[in-house]
Amino acid sequence: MSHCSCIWACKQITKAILSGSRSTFQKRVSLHFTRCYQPPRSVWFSSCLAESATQKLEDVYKYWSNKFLSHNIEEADISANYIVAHVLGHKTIYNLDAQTLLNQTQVDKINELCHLRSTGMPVQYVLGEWDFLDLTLIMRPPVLIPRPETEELALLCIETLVNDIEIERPTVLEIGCGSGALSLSLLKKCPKLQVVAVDISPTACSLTQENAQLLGLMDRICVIQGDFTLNKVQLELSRLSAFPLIVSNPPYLTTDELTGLQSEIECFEDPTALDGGLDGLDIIKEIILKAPDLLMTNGHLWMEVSHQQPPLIAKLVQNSHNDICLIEVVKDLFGKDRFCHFQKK
Amino acid sequence: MRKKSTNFYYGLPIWRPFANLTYSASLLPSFVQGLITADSRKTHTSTKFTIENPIYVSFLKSLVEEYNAAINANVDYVADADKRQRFNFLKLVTQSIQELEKKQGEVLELRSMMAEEDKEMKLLVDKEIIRLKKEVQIIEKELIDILVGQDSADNKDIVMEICAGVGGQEAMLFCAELFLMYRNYAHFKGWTVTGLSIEENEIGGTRKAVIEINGESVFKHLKYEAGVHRVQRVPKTEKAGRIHTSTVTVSVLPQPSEVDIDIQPHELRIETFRCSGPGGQHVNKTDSAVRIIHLPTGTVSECRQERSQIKNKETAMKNLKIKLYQAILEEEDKKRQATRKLQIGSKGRSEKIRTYNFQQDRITDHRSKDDFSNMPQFMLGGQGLDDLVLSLHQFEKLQLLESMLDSYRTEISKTKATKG
Repeated sequence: MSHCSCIWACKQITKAILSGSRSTFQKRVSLHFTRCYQPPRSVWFSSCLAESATQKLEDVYKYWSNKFLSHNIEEADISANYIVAHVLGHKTIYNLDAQTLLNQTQVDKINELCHLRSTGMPVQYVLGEWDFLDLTLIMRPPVLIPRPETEELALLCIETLVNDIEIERPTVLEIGCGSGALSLSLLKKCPKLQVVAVDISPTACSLTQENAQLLGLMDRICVIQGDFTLNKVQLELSRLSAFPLIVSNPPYLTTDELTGLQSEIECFEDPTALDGGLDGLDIIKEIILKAPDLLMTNGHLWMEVSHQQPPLIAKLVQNSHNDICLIEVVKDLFGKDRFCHFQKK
Repeated sequence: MRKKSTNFYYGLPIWRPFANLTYSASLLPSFVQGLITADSRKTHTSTKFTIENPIYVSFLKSLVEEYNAAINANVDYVADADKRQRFNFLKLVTQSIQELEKKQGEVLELRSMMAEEDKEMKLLVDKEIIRLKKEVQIIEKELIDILVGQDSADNKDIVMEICAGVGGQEAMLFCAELFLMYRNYAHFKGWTVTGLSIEENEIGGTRKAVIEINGESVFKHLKYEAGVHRVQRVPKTEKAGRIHTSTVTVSVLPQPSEVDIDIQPHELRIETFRCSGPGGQHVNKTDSAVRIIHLPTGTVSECRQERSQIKNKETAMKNLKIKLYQAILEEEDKKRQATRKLQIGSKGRSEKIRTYNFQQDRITDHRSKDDFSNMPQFMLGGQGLDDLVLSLHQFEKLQLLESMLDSYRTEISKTKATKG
């Protein structure tokens, strides 16, 4: 863990230095160099403006996607696409005219963001925002970036809330809220819902709060910073209310799997949000054990897990002899066993 | 204008160019002859389709036999829709025939009692026989309706297209009058009319009018209006007082009803950039493009506009549904285009369905060979047009029945020939 955050910190510092020095240097470059001048490849990151010939959208986009490709940045095309579109106030460039002329400020901004991307930073952090269902949420390193699978988890929870829970004003507990994506999308869809969100990381908690504020959902969410595995925190939660629904996207990677991930994840995302211990089940076990104390009778628990874990989890539930049972395992969009649905007897 | 022209020719010798065709019975199909002599607006019964006619009776008997065979035959009617339909049809027919036989038996029984001397009794029996005969007639009529069946499109709403054909300005003027007539008729029947597009010219004529008519059994009533309408009169634009013949074409197209598209999950293949690998927290891929392939039709729908994969999937799904629906609509549209061509023909003067002769105050329908008078009232699209529509409906029914009987006759002669 310390290794990862070290790399991440280093990259941050390098970037800060680079971006600080670049802006003044770049202006000089654009004034003095003509188009025929080709600077040496080694300084490509500071002279992109001169290289990208004109300032047509098409050219800027092609320039950067080629650059990403030659520097082994993953998803080169689509990364450049998102960045260019973002600067122009769009989601993707498919609806934009390729011949659109970009002004200097736009090009500068694109270059700045593309430099960040070329350090290996995930696009979501580069843009500082990403979409989750209907919401656009602030994304900030090192808080975990919600994956498309989690969108499906949110939809499953909404279905449960609408169909199976007959409480006038239900309160949902989210364990490990991260950027707040799950909690906030539930709040957005269900106007009478309240959410208690817990996360161990203070940065995650403040980001959830920030996103809630952005979406005007502050009055229905209570964010608690604390370690769910601690008795103290569990006691505090059980005092709050008996929950009809608990939802969680807990860390479920095994410690072994943590090394050898994409550099985007390894170097930028908070390992505490990913590391589930030796078998990846540390937090999952904790949740299954403690959920019966927090749920009301017939209350539901939805959890996102790794695709090979459901059989292990089924055994775990059987052996734990508590009041909870695994009632279904739902596949994700890609056909992997991903979501475990439990219910308290 | 209509009034003027009729008044102008009042008292002049009437030229009836199609008098021969209309009244010479020998030119008509044999069974229609009976219709022409009767007052067509009131009754359209023909002795052809009563139990007095032995061939008709034997035809009915053959249907009953088919029903009896169908009961005993072990056919899965749930699976085979065609056979199920035929079976239901036979069942209805047989029920009606049995009722008819019962009533007929009663009549015969009463007839045998006629021998009685008692005058009072005789009077009573007479009355009873008359009552029973009326009932028999009613059942016979119902039986005809059952035999003929219903057009599945009868209840559909329609789009009606009225186009000026041959005859320039005069055709456009008459086109405007026909358009008014149908609009009034729709009001008369309590339907709603929506104008889709109307092209008018400067002297009050209409080049083309397209209207949508919604209501109960619209297509059932207006399907006979499709075709070429011919007008014979002295046009407003004519200075020398000659009679012109112009045409207006009408097409009536039933509207397709909403089709609910049912897509089963196993018929879909969803392709994304995240398919392989462990997924979840293991990867961070941002390409959220989704492609959905509908396997039975091979229809492909893609979406990559959004950054959220689920949003892209939803949009792709919506587009897929639209595409599939469009394909169904196009299919129906093709069929409709074919019917349209069939209805309008070559727009010439020859394939006419109806002639409006203002000089003689006569409206002739060339299919049922019916004549109607009182042009001003007819053109208002009220009772006059409704009567004509009714007579055409009846005509169509009888014609259909005649063709059924014909094919039965040929079948019999065939079996006889093979036996012989």
